[in-house]
Order: sequence, then C-alpha cells, then structure tokens
Amino acid sequence: MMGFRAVLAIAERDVKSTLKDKMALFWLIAFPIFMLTMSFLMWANPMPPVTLKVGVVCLDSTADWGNLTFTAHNVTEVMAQVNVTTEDGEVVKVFQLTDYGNDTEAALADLKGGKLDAVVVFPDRFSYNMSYGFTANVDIYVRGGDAYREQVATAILTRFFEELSDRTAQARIEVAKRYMPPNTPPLVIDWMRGLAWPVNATVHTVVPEALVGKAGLRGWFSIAMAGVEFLIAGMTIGATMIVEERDKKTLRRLLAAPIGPWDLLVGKTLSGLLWLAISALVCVLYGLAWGARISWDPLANPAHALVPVLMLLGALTSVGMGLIISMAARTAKGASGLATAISWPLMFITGIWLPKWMLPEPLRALADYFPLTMAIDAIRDVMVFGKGMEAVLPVLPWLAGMAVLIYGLGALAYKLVLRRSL
Amino acid sequence: MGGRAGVAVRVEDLVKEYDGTPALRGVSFEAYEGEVLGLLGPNGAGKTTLMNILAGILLPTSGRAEVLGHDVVAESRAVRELIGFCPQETVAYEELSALDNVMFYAGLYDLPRSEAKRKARELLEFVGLWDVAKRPVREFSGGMKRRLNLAIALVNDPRVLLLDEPTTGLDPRARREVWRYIEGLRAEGRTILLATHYMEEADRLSDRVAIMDLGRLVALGTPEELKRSVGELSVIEIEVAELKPGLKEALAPYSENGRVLEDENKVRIYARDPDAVLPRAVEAALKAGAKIVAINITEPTLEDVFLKLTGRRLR
Repeated sequence: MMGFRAVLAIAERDVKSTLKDKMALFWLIAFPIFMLTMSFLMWANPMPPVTLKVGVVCLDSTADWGNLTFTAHNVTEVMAQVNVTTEDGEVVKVFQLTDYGNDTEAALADLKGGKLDAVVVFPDRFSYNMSYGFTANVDIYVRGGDAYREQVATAILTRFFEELSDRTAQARIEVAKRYMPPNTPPLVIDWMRGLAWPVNATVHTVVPEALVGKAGLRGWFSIAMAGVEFLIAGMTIGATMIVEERDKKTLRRLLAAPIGPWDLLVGKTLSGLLWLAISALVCVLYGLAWGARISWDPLANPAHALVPVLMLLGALTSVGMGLIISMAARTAKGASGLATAISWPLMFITGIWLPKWMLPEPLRALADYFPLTMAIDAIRDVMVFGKGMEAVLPVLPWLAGMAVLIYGLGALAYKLVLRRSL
Repeated sequence: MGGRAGVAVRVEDLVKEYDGTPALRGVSFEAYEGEVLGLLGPNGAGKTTLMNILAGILLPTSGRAEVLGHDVVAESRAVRELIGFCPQETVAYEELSALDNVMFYAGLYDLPRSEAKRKARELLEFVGLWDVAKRPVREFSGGMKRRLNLAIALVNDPRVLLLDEPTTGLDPRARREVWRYIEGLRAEGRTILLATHYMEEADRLSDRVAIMDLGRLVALGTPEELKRSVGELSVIEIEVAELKPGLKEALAPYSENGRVLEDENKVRIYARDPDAVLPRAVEAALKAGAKIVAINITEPTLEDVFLKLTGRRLR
C-alpha cells in the first residue's frame, strides 16, 4: 500500500534538495539557457542571401555607339539593381560589381586571387547583337576550388542571364508583332514564343519545416533543448535515485520508516518529473523571449492538450533508462557519469538535438523509433509547426507502450539496486 | 528490571548470513519494556546487522524476532511504525535545515503537516536545536548532528528505540551530551536497544548489557552482574610513560589466569589480593624497563568482562 503523504514528503524533500544543489540547477536551468543562446546566435538564423563579387570587363566596341536600344552598359546597370529582401526586411544586393574596363587579365587575376567570385566579359558587338536581334554572347568566369561557392555563383549568374534572355526574347516578339500583318493568326505568335522558350520550367522553393524562418528555427531548437534536458537530466535522475541516498547514508533510515520501496520510487520520480517540467518550461520561455515560434493553445488546437502527456511519457522513458543503468553504478558520481556518457551521444544520434535528416541512414532508423525523439518531434509538430492530432495520435500508442516497458524495467532494476544497497 | 515488565523485543535464534558468511550466529534475547539494553561488542560483532533486522531493513536468514509482539518479517510495516531508528550515520540531509529534515521524516510517518510542525518544534527543543532549526545541517557540529539524529528517531513517538552506535566518532564532551538525552529518553520509560562499542557508554546507560562477539551473544546481565562474573578480583592499573615490549609478559605471572590488558599507555592486571601483588608487580614492571607514571587499584569494567569471555580486547 502506498502512503500518499509519504510520497509527497519524499517528493518535496527531493525538490528542496535539488533547489540547494548548485550543480543540479546548472544542468536544469543554466545549461539549457546557455545552449539555447549559443544555438540562437550560431545556427538558428536562416542563411543570409549571397552577394556575389563580380568583375565586369567590356570588350564591346559597339557599346558606346549611342543609337543602340540595349547595350552592355544597360546590362551592368540592371545587374547593379538586382536585390533580395530578407525575412527581417533587409535589402541585400545580389551583385557587387567592379568595373575592369577592357582589362580581362586584371579581372581574371583578381578572380584567381580570391577578390572576385566571378567575371563577366562582354565580347565585341554584344550591344549590337542585343539591339538588332542576334545572339549576343557573354563569357562568364567563375572561381573554382570551393564547390559550394562555385555552384552558387554559377547558378546566380546563369539565372540572371537566362532571365535577361527571356525578357529580351519577349521584347523582340513584341517588336516583331508590330511588323506583322494584323490578321496574323495567334498561333504564329505562340509558335514564335515556342521558338524562344522551348521549355518553360517553373521553380518552386520548398523549405524544410525546421528551416522556416528565424522564429521557426528558434522554436525548433527550444523544443530540442527541452528534449536534451529530458534525456540527460532524466537519465541522471533515474541513475542516481538510489545510489545517491546510499552515498548520503540516508537509505537505511528511509527504509526503517513505514514506507514501501515504491513510495520512494514514486516520490523521487515525481520530484524528477517536476524538475524536468521546470527545465522544459525554461527552454520554452527562453525561446519565446528570443522570438521563437512556439504556441500552446489547447482550445484552438486540441493536440496541444496532449503535449503534457507526450512530455510525461518521454520523461518516464528517460528516468526508466536511468534506473536501468543504475545497476552498473556503485556511487552517485559513477551513476551520474554513466548517465552522462550514455545520454550525450544519444542526444546526437537519436535526432533530438540534430534534425533527423542530417543523420546517416542507420541512425535515422534508430531516431525514427527512439521514444523520446518521437515525443519531441510530436511536441514540435504541434507547438512549432501548428499540426494537429495527426502528429500526435499515431505515435501515442508506441510512446505509451515504450514508457511503460522501459519504466517498468527500470522499476525492477531499482528493486535490485535497492536490495544490493543494504 | 528483567522479568518485571512485559517483553518489548524478543529475538530467537537469529541467524544472518551474507553470501554464506555468517554475521549473526543464532542470537537470542529479550528486552523488557522500559529498559535500556546495551548491545556491547567490537566492530564486526553483528550489532548493526541485528539492529537492521529489528528495524525491518534486512531479512534474517533464519530465526525470528518480534517487536512489541509484531514479527519483524511478517509485520514489517507495523514494526517500523512502532520503532524509532537512529543509525550511526547522520541521517539528515545536510543541504536542508534541521526543521526541514524533521518535517520530512514526520511526513514518512503520515503525520499531517500541522502536527509535523508541532512535533518538529517539540523534538528540536528537546535536543536543544530549536535555536538553529533553520540553519543547514552541513553547518552543524558532529554532536549537533547526532542530536538531530535522535530527534528524527523520535518523530513517531516510538515505544522502542533502536540506537546504533549513537556516539561513535564524537569527542568526549559531545558524547556525554548525547548520553544526557538518552538518559532523558530512558526516564520517559521507552525501551531502548543501544548498540555500542564503548564500554563506558554501555555501563552508564544500560540496565542490562548483552555482550556480542563474532555474531554471537556471549553474555547478558546487568553491568554489575557481568563485572562480578570476572570474579572477586580487583584491577591493578599501571600507567607507564611508554609501553615497552616485554612488559606484558613480565606482568603476566602476577595476574589471575595470566590475563594482562594493555590499553594505550596503561596495563591492567587482575588480583584477588592487590595489596600483596602490587609491590611485586611494580618491581617486575621496573625490571622490564617501564617508567611508571601512576598506579590505580580499581574494580573490573565491562572491558575486563569482554576480555575474560573472548580473550580479546573490546576495541
């Protein structure tokens, strides 16, 4: 029979002891704040737009004729005005141009020297060909050696000149229409468009949920940090539950009181759950203070009401894992060290701290079935990405089953450790 | 006192083995209501194992024990509700205050919060710690911690108190202070089982003493009865500047049965006629190179009883 008052007394005592333990408070409160600050500053920002340093060389003798409709100088002017606006409203120029006159060698030397990302060379008669409807060639040099920068520079410049080409084609068709008889069938115009654009590909950008804006990223990290706390602190709480009392020499006295072993387990688990909840709350509030997108409104989204259940199941799983590993420890220090040694790698390889898509295939399979990862993913889905019951209900049975199984095994381990401790 | 009151603790042929190694080898005794029964023996005698079994912490290998009529195995929870247990270690959580500690332990005995608060104050006042009740226990001296241990043991107002080496490691002044509180508890009529390896402690506090050695109970009686068992002997205690090799052998012929007890810088020999033996013993000691500092003729102590029964010293 379990004594309600005894369980509460054990839980209250444990909470008070943790409150006086600076090291425990560091791991539960200060560590997540520190980690989140670092993450927000270092990673939780969308990649800024790229500005390419481009050298412009004009070998075009027709550029300054004065009677042409579109010259190399016009292209350079357009390039100088291309910009993108970031999530924060900042306007960023896509090209930072440097005029090299007709000195190709100097431009290429700077490209090789790393001062430029690319060089655009307008050959002779570029302006003439552009204005009179012929094919105008452009030479583009891109700096190699860094595959990423090379790909980016190539893609941006190619895209720019493709767009320029498309618009020029459109303008030419409009001009051509003016010289056609009024009864020209529309099919001819369409056919001309077909000549200009045999394939019209439309690119749609799909951003992974985790990377949707700064607020989304910060929300992602805030929930991830709560998961890390559940994993590391939860396992440590389970691992040290009995050996800590033995080290403090209070275990014999506790067991001489009219309480059962389950009173002790339940009381200490309650205290652990409370601290994990506090730590998770710290993660969420700190994230919100940094503008993270996290919401909790069970009236608007009933799935939010299941978040505490998900947290409870995740926490019980971690505490259960800690109880199991406590079988291998002789002292509280050893138990804590063992819990840390196991939980830290798990934090990375189970996709709690790193997005699952960053993991290699075998680890991704582990992450897909690791209960705490499932709980954290489901919490994130509903609190950060606004999903509903469809994100929670499919994982709930597995989570509940695993929590019962692992905590149950932990309870058996606890009994063994208790017996061994006397 | 034995025989006049009811039996509070009954132990029958109690055996405890750890992986085949015996810690208790068939111990039997009874402790009567209202008496202080001292369990005297050196480390490894089995006192703590016995206490742990009586407190319901350990299961015996065989035999049985009852506290106030309840079997310690079959009715373990009932026993634990009735006893107060004070282990030799500090059982208080050092990071918490004395008040928090007593309140916590009161909660384990299902005391309502208001009752626990009242009880905590009463107990902390009893052990003289109320003025420092809100200070963290880590700031307490060893003696204060033992007094807090006592207060915690009393939190359920137990009729039977199990005190396991309550003064071990304390300096003499702090030890005497704890004794004073134990005497106060005895005066309240509680049954106390006091495990100790200090013979002065057992002698001063116990109504009866059970002497234990190597898991066996080797003698049981009042301190006077036990001391009388040494025989009608007096003890000649010769204090020397330094214990030299050969002194024990030199004095052995002058002691009854050849028993000589060395303790720090003192040598104890036993004699029926101390006046006759003393000059010859002194002469033998001087011949053995001893520099005599003081000579006392005293009555036997429980240490002497232990020596007689086991052939070894208590410590």
